Amino acid sequence: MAKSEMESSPLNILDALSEHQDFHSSIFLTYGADLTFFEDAILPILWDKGCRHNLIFMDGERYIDTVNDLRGSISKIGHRYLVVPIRLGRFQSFHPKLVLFLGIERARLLVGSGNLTFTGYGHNHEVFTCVDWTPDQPEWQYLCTQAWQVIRTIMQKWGHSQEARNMLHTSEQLSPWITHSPQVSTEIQLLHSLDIPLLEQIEQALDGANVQKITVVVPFLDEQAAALNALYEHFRPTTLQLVLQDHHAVGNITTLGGLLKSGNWLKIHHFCQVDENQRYLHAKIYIFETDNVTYAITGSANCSQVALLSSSTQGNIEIVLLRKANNHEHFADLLKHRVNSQSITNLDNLSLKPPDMPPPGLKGEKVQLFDVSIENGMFCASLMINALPDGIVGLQFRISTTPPQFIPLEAFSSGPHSIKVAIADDLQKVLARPQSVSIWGLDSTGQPVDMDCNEHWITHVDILRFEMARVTRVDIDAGERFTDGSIESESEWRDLYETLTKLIELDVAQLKRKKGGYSSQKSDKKTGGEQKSQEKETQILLVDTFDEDETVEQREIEETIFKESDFARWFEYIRARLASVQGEDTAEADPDDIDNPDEQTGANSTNGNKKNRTGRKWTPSQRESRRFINLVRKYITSLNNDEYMQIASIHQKVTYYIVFQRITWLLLEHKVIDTASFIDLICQINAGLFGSPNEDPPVLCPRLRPHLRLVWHQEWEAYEMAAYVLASLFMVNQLVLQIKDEGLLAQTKRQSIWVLAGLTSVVGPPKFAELSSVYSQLAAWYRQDEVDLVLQAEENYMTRLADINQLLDHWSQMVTIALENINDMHLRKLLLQAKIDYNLARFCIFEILQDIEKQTELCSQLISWMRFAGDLGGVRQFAERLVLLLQAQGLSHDAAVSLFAQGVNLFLSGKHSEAAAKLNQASILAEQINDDPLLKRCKQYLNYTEFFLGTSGQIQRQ
Amino acid sequence: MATSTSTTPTLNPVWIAPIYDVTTGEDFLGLRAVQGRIVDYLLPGIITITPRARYYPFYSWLLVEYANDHPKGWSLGDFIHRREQIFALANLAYTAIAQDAPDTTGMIGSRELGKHWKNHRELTRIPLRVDKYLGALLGGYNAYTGVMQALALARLNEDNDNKREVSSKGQELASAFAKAIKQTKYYKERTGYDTAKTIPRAVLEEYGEKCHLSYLSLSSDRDPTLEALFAFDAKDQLPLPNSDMPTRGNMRGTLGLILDMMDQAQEGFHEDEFRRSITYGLCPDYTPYQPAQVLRPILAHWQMFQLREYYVYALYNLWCYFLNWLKCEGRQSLRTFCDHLSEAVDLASLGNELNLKLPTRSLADWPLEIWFNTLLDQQDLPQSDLLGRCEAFARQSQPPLNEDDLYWQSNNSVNLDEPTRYVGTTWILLSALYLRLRGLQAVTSEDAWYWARNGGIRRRSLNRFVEDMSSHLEAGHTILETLHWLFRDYIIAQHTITALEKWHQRSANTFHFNYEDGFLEWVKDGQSGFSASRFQQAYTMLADLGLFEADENWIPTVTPLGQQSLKRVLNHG
Repeated sequence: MAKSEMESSPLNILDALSEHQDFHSSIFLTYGADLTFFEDAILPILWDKGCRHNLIFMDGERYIDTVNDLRGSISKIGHRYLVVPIRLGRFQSFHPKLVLFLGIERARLLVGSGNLTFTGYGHNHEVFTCVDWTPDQPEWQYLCTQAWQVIRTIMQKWGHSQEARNMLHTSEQLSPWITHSPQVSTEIQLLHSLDIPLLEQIEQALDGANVQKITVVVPFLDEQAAALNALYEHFRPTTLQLVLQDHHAVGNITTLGGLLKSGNWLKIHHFCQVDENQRYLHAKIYIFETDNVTYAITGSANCSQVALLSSSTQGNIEIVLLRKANNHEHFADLLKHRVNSQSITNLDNLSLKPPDMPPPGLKGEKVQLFDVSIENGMFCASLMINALPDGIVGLQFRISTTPPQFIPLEAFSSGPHSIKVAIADDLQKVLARPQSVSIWGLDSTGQPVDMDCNEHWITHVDILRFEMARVTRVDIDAGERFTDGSIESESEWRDLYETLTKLIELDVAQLKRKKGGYSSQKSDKKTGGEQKSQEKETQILLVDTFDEDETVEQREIEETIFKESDFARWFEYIRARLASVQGEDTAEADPDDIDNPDEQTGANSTNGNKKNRTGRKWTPSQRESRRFINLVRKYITSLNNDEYMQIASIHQKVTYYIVFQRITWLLLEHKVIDTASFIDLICQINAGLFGSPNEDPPVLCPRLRPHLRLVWHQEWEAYEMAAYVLASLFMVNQLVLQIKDEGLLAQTKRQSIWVLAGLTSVVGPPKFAELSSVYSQLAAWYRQDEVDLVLQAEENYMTRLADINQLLDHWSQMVTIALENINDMHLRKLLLQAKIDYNLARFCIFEILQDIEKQTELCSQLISWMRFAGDLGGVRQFAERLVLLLQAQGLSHDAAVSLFAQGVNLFLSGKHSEAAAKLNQASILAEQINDDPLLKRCKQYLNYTEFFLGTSGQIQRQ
Repeated sequence: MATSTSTTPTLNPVWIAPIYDVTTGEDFLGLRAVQGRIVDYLLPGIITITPRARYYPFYSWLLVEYANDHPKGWSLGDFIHRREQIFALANLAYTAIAQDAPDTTGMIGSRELGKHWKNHRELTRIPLRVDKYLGALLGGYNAYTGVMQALALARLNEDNDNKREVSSKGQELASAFAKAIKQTKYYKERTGYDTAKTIPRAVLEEYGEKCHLSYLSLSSDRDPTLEALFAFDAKDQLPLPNSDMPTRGNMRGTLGLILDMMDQAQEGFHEDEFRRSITYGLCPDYTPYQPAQVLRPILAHWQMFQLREYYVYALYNLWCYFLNWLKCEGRQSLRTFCDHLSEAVDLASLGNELNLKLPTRSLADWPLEIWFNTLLDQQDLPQSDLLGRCEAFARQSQPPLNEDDLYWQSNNSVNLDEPTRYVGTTWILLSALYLRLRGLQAVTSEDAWYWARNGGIRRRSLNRFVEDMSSHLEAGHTILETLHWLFRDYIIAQHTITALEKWHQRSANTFHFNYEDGFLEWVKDGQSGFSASRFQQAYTMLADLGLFEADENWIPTVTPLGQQSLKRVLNHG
C-alpha cells in the first residue's frame, strides 16, 4: 500500500458511528462504559438511523460501577439497549474495544484502544482502525465475520442475557452473510486472546522473520514488565523502543531501570503532546520492523502479562488488529511528531504512576445474579446460590429504588435457579424506569441482610420490544422494497402496506390531535425576488401598539411535529436510500444481470440477502391489490377534503405526494393497475394537490390556498418537488401518447398546464440544471433514460410557457375581481400577495422568454401592487429593475422619467437623501437626452432636497 | 464535531480526533437557568447588561431617527455605532466639566471610548472614529433589544430580521428624549455629525449636559421612562408563569417591592439586604421588612428565586469541594470519596461554631429523620409531626437555621481543605432548605411553587429535591447515604448531563472531571456563588429616575416622586 494512504486525517469516531444509516445492529465491546455518554451521544444517532439492536458487552466489574455511579444519569438501559456484563476471574479483565455495525448489505468494524466513554471516543490519544464491508467491496468481510465469531463465543461462554442472545440471533438472521467464511488475507488479521495468548499469535504471524526493531506505545506496563521482557525474549530485536507518556503512564520505574541496565536493547522515549490540551495517551501500538516488512498491531492490549502473555483462561480478553506492510515507511506517520527523538537515559526524568489497587474481591461469591428481566409482566431472573451465611432464613430480590422494594424469593437452595415471579401492580410502575436489582437475605427478625450479591440492571423486555418496534425492521425492509422497486412476494406487499398505513395519516381526526394547522397561519414572508436581495439597511416601522398576545411560530411547530414523526424518519430513510441505491437499482432491474454467471461469484456470492433477491416483481393477490388501490384512493379523497388540506402541514403534503407517486408507480410496475388506471390516479393526485381547470385559482380555493403559495417555496425546494412534479407529468404524457387517446391527451394537457402554473407560482420556473441529481434518481425510479427524462421534462415545460403565463394572468385577474368583494383585511392581504406571487411567476417567465417589453410592463404593475401591499423592499427592487429594463430598451427618457418619479415620491415621504440620489440620476439622464424640461424639474426638486438636507449634510452624504 | 477529520476507512490504524472544539463555558452544573427564568419573569424589562434607564429613551430616539432619515446605505448598526459613540463622548465630556461629576457607570462602550476620550480630551475637536468600540452588530442596542421588546417599546419584525417596529410608547420616549436635547447645537446639526470626522468638544459638553445618563431625573424623558419601566399601562400582573401572557406588568410589582423595602429600611439597603428580605419578608418574625399586602404575591415568587439561589449555591459548593478533593487525591472512586466524608466531616464540632447543639455521631450512623428533628429542635418549634414542624419553620426567619446566615458562614470558610466547615455547613444549609421548602410547599401559593417545579429532572428542580430527600427520609437512610446520593445524582450525574448538553450545543468539552473505569479524575476546579438577581440594575434605574436617594451608608430615602410611584403601585395592585 502506498505511503500516501497512511497519511489519513484523524478519525472522528462519532462521525464514523453515524455515517451510514442502513445498519440494523450495533455491538460494542468495551472494558468500561460511560453509559450516560452512550445514551446521550451515541444511542440517539443509532436510533434515529433505524439501528434498533444495540448491545454492549463490558467488563463485569465496570458494569457494577454503572449501577453504583451512573444511576442518576442513565435512563434507557434495558429499555432501548442491552448491556451484558462479562465476568472473568479476579485479576482478569474483559478489555477489548471494538464496535461492529451490521446492516443487510453493509458492515463497519472499528477496532481500537478507546473505551465507550467521552474520553475514549473523543478526547484521549487513542488509535482505531475502521474497516468497511459492502457486497461491492467484499475483501474484508472475513474481519467482520471473525469479529462476529468472537462476539458469539463471548456470548456463549460468559453472557447470560437471553434477550441479548435473541438480539444477536435476529442480527444474524438479518445479515446472514456474517456467518459465511470467505477467504482470509494475511494483510490484516484480527487477533484475540480467547484461546491463545496474543504474543504466541503475533509470533506465528511474523513467521520467524528477523525483527530488528520493536516500538511499543502503551499507557500501561505490568509491575514486573514481564510482557516487555517477553517481547524482547521472543523476537530479540536490536532495539525495543518504549514510548511512555510522562506523569500518566502506569508502570514500575525500578523494574524499567533494571531492564535498562540488562542490556542496550531498551530505549525509553517520552510521548510528545501534539496539542495544548493535556490529552491522555491511551493508545496501544506495537510496531515490528523486520528486514523488509513492517507489522503494526493496534487495539486493546497493553504491554502487560494479562494482556499479551495469557489467554482468557488466566488473562484478559483482548482484541487487536495486525496490519502488514511491505516497507518500513508505511506506519511512520502514525508516530510522526509523537515520539521524542531523544531517549531517556536518566529515569529521574520519567514519572510513572503506580497501578490501581486490585479490586477488593468479586461480588456475588455467596449469591450471584446472572440475568434479570421483565417479560410478559413477569419478573424473571437467573441466579446461582453458592453458600448462605448463618442466620439467613429467606432471600428476596431488592430493587434499588429509594426506598428499596423487595420481592420475596421462595426457593433458596444451593445451585442455579431460574425464577419467574408475578409483579404486583404498584411495582409495575416503579419498574417502568430502569432499575437495578440484587439479592438480599432475610434474618429471623425479618430484617433484610446485605449478602454482597452483585447488582444487575433489569432488562425490561416488554418495553425494549415495544421501543424497537416503533419503527421496526419491517418498516426498514418495506422502505428498501419501496425504493428498490421490486416487491417479490405477497408478504412483502403486506409488510409494505402495514408500514404505509401505520406511518401515513390520512385521517382528519388524527391530524386534529396534532397542533399544526393553517387557520392561524400568519406568515407574511417576503416575495422571492426580494429575498434574493441582501439589503443592508434596516426597515423601521412606526406602529401604534404591539400585539402582545403573540401566537407561537406556527411554522416552527409544524416543522418540529413533522420532523419528530416516525413517518419523517422513514421518509428520510427512503429518500437517502433513493439517492444511494440508484446504481444497484438499475443493476437489479435488468433481468440480464440476474442471470449473469459473473454476478453469482465475488461480491454477491457472499451477500446472503442480495443473493436471495431476484428483482422479480410479484403481483399481489386481489385482496392485497385492492387494499393498495384503496389506500391511494383514500389519499386522493383526503386531497379533496378541505378540512384535511387546511390542517395537514406543508411537509406532510409534499412528502405524501412523493410517496404516493411512488406507490402508484409500483402498482403499475407490478401489474396491480393498468396504464389507464395509472394515468387516472396520477391525474387525480395532481388535481388534488394543484387543483384542476374546473376550479378557482389556488388562492381562492380554501383547499389549495394553504400550500400553493410563494411563502412555501423553501419547503417545496427542500423536497425537490419540482422534479417530482415534472417527472410525474412527463410519465403521464408518455403513457397517454402510448395509448393514443386524443381526448385524454387534450385533457391531460390542460391539467398539466394547471399543475405547472401552480408549481411556477410557488417555486418559479424550475431550474433544470439544479435538479439533475434528483432526476437521476427519478430516471431509475421510472426506468427511464436520465438524459431523455431531463430533456423531455424541460421541453414539456418550455413549450407550455405561454399557456402557463396565460393561466397565471387569468388567475391574477380572477383575484382582482375577488378583491373587490372582500372586506376581511387578512384575506385581502392574502389575495393581494397571491396576485403579486402570480405576477412574479409571470415576470420570471418573461425573463426566460426574454420579452423585455412584457417585463417592463409587468415591472411597473408589480411596483404599484407591492406599494399597495406595503412591501417597500419589493418596490425598491423592482423600481431599479424598471430603470435597467428601460435603459436596456434605449428608453432613457422613460428611465429618466421613472427615476424622477421615484425621486419625487421619496422626497414627499421625507426621505430626502434617497430622493436626492434618484433625482441626481434622473438629471444626468435628462441631460444626456437633452430633455431640458425634465432637467429643470429635476433641479427644482434637487434644490428642495438640498434645502432640507442642509449644505454640510448633503456634502457628506454625497 | 471537530474539523478536518475523516471517516473514510483506510484500513490503517489512525489517531482519533477530539470530538469537541472548545473547552470554555459557564454554569457547569446547568442549574442557574431556572433562576434566570424567574428573574426574566419578574423583571422582564431589565437584564444584567442594561443598567441605565436613560438608554431606553435614547435607543427609542435612535430607532425613530433612523426610520426618518439616515445616511444612505447605512445599516441600523452603522447608525447606532455613530450616534452612541457621540452620546458616550458627550457624557464623558460633560462629566469632566460638571461640578457634581455625574456618574457614567453602565455607559456602553466606556472602556474603548473612555480611552479615546482620555487621549483626546485636550483637543477642541474630538475625533469620531471609534466605530469598533463594541463587537455587537447593533452596538449597545444589542443588549437592549430584548428588554425594549419586553416593555413593548420596540421589537424585531417577526417575519423579517431586517425590519423593526417602534410602538407609540417607544415613539413617545423618542420624542421626549428629542425634546430634552432639542436646544443643543448637536441636535440641530446631528445629521452632519453622522458622517463628520470630528466634533467640537464644546458641542459634546453642551449635548452631554442634556443627555447625561445621570440626569434623567431632571429631563423631559423621565416621566415616559418611568411609565415604561413600571409598565403602569400593562393589563396584567403576575400572569401564570407558564402562560404566554406578557409579563411586562411584573415590572411594576418588582420595582414597587424594592421601593417598599427602601421605604421601610432603617439601615443600609443593597443587594444582600434585598436577598434577605425576599427570603424572609413573608415570615411574620422578620422585622427589617414586612410587605404591603398587594406585594405579597410578587414577594412569594421572589422568595422562590432566592431559595433556589441558596440551593444552587450549596450544590456548587459541594461540587467545588469534590473537585478539589479529586485534585488532591488523584484518580478516585465515588465510594472512596464517601468514605472520606464519613471520616472527615464532624458535624458536632461544626455545631459549636454555628450555635447548634449537635451530638457527636458518625455520618454513617445518623438517620435523616433524627438529624432533621435535631435541627428543628434548635428553632424552638413545638413538637409535632415533621411536616407540621416544617410548616412552622417556613414561617420563621430566626437563626440558627437561617439560610442566609449559613450562606455567609459557608461563603466565609473559603478553605476547601476544611471538610467540616465546607461540606458540613453546606449540608446544614441544604437541610434547612429542605425543611423550609417542605413547609412552604404546603403554605405558599401554587403560582409561586411553579418555580419550585421548574427545571424538572434535568435542572434538579427544588420540588424534585424535596421529593428525593423525602424518599431518603422514608427509606431510613443515614446522612452519609444521603450525601452519597447527592454527590452521585446532583453533582456527578448533573455535571455529566450538563457537560454533554454543552457539548451538543456548542461542541464544547466542559468536563471538570473524567469518568473512566469506575474512577473519577480531576480536570478543572469549580467555582461557587450566586447568579445575578438584577437587583443592582433595578436599583440604579430607580436612582436614575430619581425615586430614592441613598446616603454614604446606603441608607435610602424614598423621594416624593418615589412615594408617589410606590403609592401608584400599591393602589394599582
